[in-house]
Amino acid sequence: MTNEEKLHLLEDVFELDENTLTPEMVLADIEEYDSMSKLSLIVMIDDECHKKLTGEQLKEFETIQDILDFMG
Amino acid sequence: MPINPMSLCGKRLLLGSDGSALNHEICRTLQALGAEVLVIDAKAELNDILAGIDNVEYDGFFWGCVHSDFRPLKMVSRDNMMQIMDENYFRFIDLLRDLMKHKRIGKNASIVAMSSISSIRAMKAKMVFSAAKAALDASMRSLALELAPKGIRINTIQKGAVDVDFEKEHIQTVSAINDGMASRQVLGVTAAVEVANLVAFLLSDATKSLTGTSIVIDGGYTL
Repeated sequence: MTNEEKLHLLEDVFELDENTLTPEMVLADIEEYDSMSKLSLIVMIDDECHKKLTGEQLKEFETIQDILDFMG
Repeated sequence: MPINPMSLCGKRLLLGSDGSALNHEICRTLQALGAEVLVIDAKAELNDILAGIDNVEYDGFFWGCVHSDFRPLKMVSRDNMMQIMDENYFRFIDLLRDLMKHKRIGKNASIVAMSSISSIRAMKAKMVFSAAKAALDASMRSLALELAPKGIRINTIQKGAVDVDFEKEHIQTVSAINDGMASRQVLGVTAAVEVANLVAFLLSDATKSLTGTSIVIDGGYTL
């Protein structure tokens, strides 16, 4: 999966318009990054990347790049 | 000699297990109370399950298959909904129908199925699981009427957070997004053996006229 494809998946999860996310963005500054989005992120990464994201790992994410790296 | 109203001595029971630690505890408790328990794999093919069941009339049947998935609305798919409905509801009805057809459930038997407080309380991202267990509870009430002429009774247990379930990572995630679900259990997380005791209580002669009921065991979550 390319970075662009991953960003589109994340935009879907956070219900943002296309091409609004960039890797360097800080998660704490993204208003849509709330508890339900975090849950959607866990499910999306399971569905799309077949990886289990734990609550602990989720807490360590600081930027969009951290999520992209985890998605692999 | 003291009497034990929850004694299961002389009872032959079927236990539909999904392999969870809770179902292991339930099996141990039923055996400790004197029951002869045949454990069946709740996730196996229906015909395989039936082939593994002895040709006798059982005194009780416990169904413990609980697949507590969590998905927000936008992540729900038909496949996911079908899987959750299948494991939490359809399989139980399919198996019960065939057990009745093949006369494996005896007169005056007790049937117990595991439900959840998700059936009666809202939780984020649990809508499909909630619907599946609500379907199970609603069907149970109709079945209680339908099976009563045979003296057969049926009940469900609506459990909250149980210690052995809570060891699973995803439950903690769900708890976190639902504002500390477990902390709302004012008496704390329920021990597996308490749920097992409740199953035994419902399968025993201590509750011979108890039918069509869902019993909540949730440490006070739903208060």
